[in-house]
Amino acid sequence: MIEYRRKVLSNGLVVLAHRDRATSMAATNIIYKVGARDEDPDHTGFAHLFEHLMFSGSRNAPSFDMPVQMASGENNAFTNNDYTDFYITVPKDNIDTALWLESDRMTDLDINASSLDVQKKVVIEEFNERYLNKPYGDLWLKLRPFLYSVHPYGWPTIGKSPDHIRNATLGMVRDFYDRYYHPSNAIIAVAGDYDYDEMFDMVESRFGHITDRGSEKKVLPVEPAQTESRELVIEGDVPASLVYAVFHMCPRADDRFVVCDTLSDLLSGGTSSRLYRSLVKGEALFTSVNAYVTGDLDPGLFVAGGHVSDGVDPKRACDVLMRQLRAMCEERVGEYELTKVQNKFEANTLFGEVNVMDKAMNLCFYEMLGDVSLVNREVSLYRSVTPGAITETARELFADNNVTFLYYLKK
Amino acid sequence: MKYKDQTVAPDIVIPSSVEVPPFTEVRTPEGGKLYHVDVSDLDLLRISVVFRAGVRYQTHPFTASATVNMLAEGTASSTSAELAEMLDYYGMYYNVSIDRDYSIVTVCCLNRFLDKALSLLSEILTEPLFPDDELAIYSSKRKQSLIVDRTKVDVMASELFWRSVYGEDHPYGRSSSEDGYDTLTGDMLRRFFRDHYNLENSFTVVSGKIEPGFIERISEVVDRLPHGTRSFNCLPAPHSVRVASADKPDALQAAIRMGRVLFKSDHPDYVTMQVVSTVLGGYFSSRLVQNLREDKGYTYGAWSQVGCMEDSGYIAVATQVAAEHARDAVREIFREMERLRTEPVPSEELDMVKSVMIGEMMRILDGPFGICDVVIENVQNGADNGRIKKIVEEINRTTPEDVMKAASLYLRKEDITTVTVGGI
Repeated sequence: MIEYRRKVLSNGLVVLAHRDRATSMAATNIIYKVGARDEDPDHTGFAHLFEHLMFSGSRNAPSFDMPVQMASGENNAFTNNDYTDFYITVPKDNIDTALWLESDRMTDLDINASSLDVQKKVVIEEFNERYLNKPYGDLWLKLRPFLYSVHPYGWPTIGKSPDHIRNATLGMVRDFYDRYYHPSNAIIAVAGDYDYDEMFDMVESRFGHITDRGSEKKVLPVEPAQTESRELVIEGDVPASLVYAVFHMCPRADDRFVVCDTLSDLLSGGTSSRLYRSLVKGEALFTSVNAYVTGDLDPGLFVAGGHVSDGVDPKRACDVLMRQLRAMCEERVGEYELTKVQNKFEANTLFGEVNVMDKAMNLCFYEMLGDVSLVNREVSLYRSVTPGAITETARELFADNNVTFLYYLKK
Repeated sequence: MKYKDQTVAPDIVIPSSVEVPPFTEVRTPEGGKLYHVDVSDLDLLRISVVFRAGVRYQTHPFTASATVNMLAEGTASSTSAELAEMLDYYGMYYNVSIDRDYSIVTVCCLNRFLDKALSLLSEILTEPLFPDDELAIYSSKRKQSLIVDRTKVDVMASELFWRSVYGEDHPYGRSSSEDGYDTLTGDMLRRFFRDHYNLENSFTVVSGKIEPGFIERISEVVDRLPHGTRSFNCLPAPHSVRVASADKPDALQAAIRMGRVLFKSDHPDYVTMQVVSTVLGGYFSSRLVQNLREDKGYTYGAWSQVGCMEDSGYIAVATQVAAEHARDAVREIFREMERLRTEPVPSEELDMVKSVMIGEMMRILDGPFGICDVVIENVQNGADNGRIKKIVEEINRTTPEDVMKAASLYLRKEDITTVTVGGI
């Protein structure tokens, strides 16, 4: 349970505040509602590259990192398909330093050729390190375009290729900043041991003066429904073959989302889960197995699969995997098993809300989904999922025309 | 509302000390050591049991890690599947970890499920069976993931680094062929368990919201551990080589590791070397990140770390760079070490490093679980939580001259081992 208050500044910035009396640390988290989905298909990887540039300094704070570090703070950021998140933790007394830095780079970012040049190189190295120079690293680079024919989820956050990063220009950077980085496209959360009024005042005193630029809502192409089962085979220099069954599913804010997520927990949440017991333990067809939902704002993916054991035919491994998924469409889940994954969800939610940073981040996330009160309602939403809803959703989700098989085969 | 003047940077308060709530030490009726610290208003509890059962004590590769990893894979009372059910049903977080000296078994639970957590803990710590069929699955899984890991240049470089600074046969340096999993037997695990998982060879740490009666109940479970002896073995002197490399023809990047053996954490220069390492590569504005990432764009990241084991310690620098820049990167790392040896650190930079180091400690202590790790480390060092305060004071006292003196003593080029793996 995260206690919070919410306020919207006149420039459109949504402010969330949480009082945590048990800590001497404080946190700020900002979400900008921009991600890889907003990129031009010919200039992908841009939202993430821009995230790097947000650390290049701003008019009144020529170095972003120095003041954070002087204030005993720590900061970082991440970008995904839907949004970009920036966070800072500092000892309680230094919260204004964090707010000063965040407000300054919201309106007066220093955009210059030399930092663009360096960050392009850094991001290309990140591309190499994480996506090209690692076994299976290119998996989503190849699978995404196969799964999405028109929607921008067809490329990963890092971009389609290092060339897109190389081709980024200063003009594009300025344009992107103007379009997406302003108060009404952002959400900020502050958490720490302060009065609520004090928190709202300190945010207002730093962000209230920023003029909003407004933004037209971009309409993204709708991915047409899949009509038949598909298969993608990749061969590579990997240590073990890997098999995934991937299904298109509902958006994060849809009522069926918690049902799909519960399905993934039944299948692979913990070592007592169905897939782990039957595929890793029982027949030992897989050495690792997982089922998860991507949780994207637009219709996302349900992914199930893992690494196939040495000497096992990947096709056979896949058939047995599918048998487990189909069982979810036919047999009703018992009360015991359902209670188990719900208990686990409750505990994991609590374990995931122990630091000020976690709390600030969660508040922003649920606000972005459209309803911050969800942050405290999700446990009961998961508790309300019924065996009937699971069977029904599984039938829809695991339908024959909705599956894409990925075989990443060891050469 | 009056807006603040953006052109003026806010005043910064540098924390001069870090308050760590003290732990309470309890002797269980059987003589077990238990430490607890009541830190939270959330209904959560973390229990960690620490054994002197690290990798250094094994005679056959992978025995120590397999033993701790298989504690919950079948006991005299429950099968592996039943244990997994119990863990998941009560939403417990169960985790084991191992390093060269210690293994740690951790359970986190909601307070209302403490009894369930304790009965589980009791079972896995006193009556594990290490069934052969479970071991076969474990070994094949581990073997495969080790094979996967060893295709990555950073893992290859890390293993080569430890072999190069401690020696291939040293318990702190050794890496074993993945084939070692093929000859691992249940008997080896049972023997290792019998020799090292006992009351005299362990201690327990509890953090979270501790309610009345909890400690007595936990003590009772601790006391079910059999009596035994404290593990001990003598380590040979490290045998280091200066340069080592491995080729990986298709690699786009080269992984670099540079460093040397230093000393244990009780050495008078330990904290100063922590400061040296932080200046060099311990945070985002460190010299290595600025040089290799921000100035030259060779890499996505670079770091330096001073670490310690029970009977040794080290400094290690690591980065992964575009293959064609490997040589340049090594040269730049040496250049940064040499600068530390010959030029005093500007006092603003040193102040920033101190703030960073203190902030890091404060962050670890935020929340009910992190303090448990701090207590474990303090107990391993034979100290109470006041140790953190002393370390912070020592960090704050460090002068540019101290840094230069330590760097010039410990970062001489001829003492540094350089390891490179990749398309070189």
